[in-house]
Amino acid sequence: MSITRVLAPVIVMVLAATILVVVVERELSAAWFRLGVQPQVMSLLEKSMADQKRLDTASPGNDGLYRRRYEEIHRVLNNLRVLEHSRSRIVSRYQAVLLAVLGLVVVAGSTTQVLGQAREHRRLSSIQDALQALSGGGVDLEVPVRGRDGLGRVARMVESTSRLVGRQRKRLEAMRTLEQWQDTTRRISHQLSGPLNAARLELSRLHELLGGTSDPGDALACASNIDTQLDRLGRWTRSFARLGRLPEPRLVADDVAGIVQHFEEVFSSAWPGLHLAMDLARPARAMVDRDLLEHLLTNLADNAARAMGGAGGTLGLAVSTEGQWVRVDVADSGPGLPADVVDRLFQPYVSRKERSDGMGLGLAIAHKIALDHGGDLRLFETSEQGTTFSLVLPVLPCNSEVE
Amino acid sequence: MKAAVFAVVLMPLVVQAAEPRVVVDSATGVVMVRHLAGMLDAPEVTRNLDSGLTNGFVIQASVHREREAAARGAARVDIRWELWDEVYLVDVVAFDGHVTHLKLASKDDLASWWSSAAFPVLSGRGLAAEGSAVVKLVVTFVPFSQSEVEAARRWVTQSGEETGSARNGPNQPEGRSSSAVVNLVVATSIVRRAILRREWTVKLETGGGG
Repeated sequence: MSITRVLAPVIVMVLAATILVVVVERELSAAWFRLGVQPQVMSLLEKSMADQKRLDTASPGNDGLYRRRYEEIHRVLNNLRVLEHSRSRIVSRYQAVLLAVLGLVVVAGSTTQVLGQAREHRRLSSIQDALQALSGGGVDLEVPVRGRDGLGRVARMVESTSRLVGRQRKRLEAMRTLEQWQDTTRRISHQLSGPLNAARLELSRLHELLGGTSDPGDALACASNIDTQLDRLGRWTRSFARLGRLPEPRLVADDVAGIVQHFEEVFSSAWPGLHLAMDLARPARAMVDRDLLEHLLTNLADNAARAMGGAGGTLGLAVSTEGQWVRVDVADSGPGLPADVVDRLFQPYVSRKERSDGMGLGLAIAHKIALDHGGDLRLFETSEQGTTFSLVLPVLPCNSEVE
Repeated sequence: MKAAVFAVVLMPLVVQAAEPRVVVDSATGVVMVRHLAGMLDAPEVTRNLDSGLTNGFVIQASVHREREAAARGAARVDIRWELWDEVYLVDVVAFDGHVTHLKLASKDDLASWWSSAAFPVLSGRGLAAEGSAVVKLVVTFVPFSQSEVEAARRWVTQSGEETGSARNGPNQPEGRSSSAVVNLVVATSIVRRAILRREWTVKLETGGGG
């Protein structure tokens, strides 16, 4: 709340009130007081006293009546004269009282004004915070602004909007989950039906072979084919189980650059034709699970190697710190991602490989590991020159011990 | 030339004459103040002398010997013009509380009395014998008495109450009217304040009675 916004009206109010009081008091109060002790009034009273005296002389038998009247007038005249002597003091004290009352009124008015503005400022801030929370994804918000005025109504509207957004989001999440399950069941049935159909056909053929006089070599080939299909099913279900059995990370303070360096040393020859290029900044410490982080990097490298195919290429690993985050960029020199998979890249069973010998779980697992570390895995950029994924992890302060 | 001679020769005499005298009566030992004629002629006094209010002169004297106060005292003179009887009523209150009442028929009588009056301000036994001393004399003039102040205050307060009663109606319980605050302001603003103050420092003289 700006101090000038409060002070300006208060100063104007004080000035206006002071001018008003001074003018009114000087022009009205002082004039009324002058009227009360008018010299003419006093002169008339003096004459009246003289008249009483003359009357008493003229008719002495009135038993002191005129004398009493005289005394009465005399007392009033004396009082007026005393007042006249105290005129300046009375006026100045009257002004002081008026100014004191004015001061009280101004102080009370100013206090009310300041408190009112502070209250409005607080209420506005609350609404602002709520809107910020709403824009940041907050739902079912409680805005601590009561009242039936405009701000109160706005607060109720923000609350009802946040509830509505919450309901819509739940609905969307439910729909998305259903869609994912539908997609998953479709893929599972597809993955299962292929080898099962092949195995069933081979079994039929085996029955025919065993029932006739065929060459035993053909029967052995059929049995081998069935074994291949069942092996494929086995690999698929193991891969499927890996996602479900992904462990909780055991976070310890570690140097991410060191982990990436170690990864390069161990896995530099794991992918034929893939050259690993390092750009490491030290120190870059974070709370990480070394095994899971290497798992994540392996998945990204594996994905990149598959994207580049047999042609080979370069996989760049760069570690840097950006404010509160440690950033690991993993960039390949592959052909880039198809536009249709970019939006659902981290969903399970989404694969960019045309020949789907992978299960489409690598990026989903990598994403899950990043999220479990309190960080994130994002697609930084993709083009015909390559694709870059960025892993971000919360940084540890420099003076933290590295375990 | 004549004016210059007058200024050089006669003015000190005039000033000497205007200055009051403080004398220790060798018989009674009372310190008396005399020759306050200049006070009665002051415009602040002459303006109020016939007002009908009690005009008060307060005479304060402090005797100093070798720059240290040796004794102090005061007297008061109240003068009121009584229009009905057309006389000046004078009360002289001495330092010991003794009051002398006088009734003077005219302003001339008053002036005559005032010029020759001696006002007893303190008991100065021993002061004369101890050598030279100076007296710091302060005379103030107040145009009305304390009892008149009280009367005016009562009058103002009663006026306010009557106004409040009249507004509430005769059968209504008497409430505190809004004018009560104004009356309070007015009533408490009425105080006795001197409108004239004169000071002299004169030698303490020793003289005979009267």
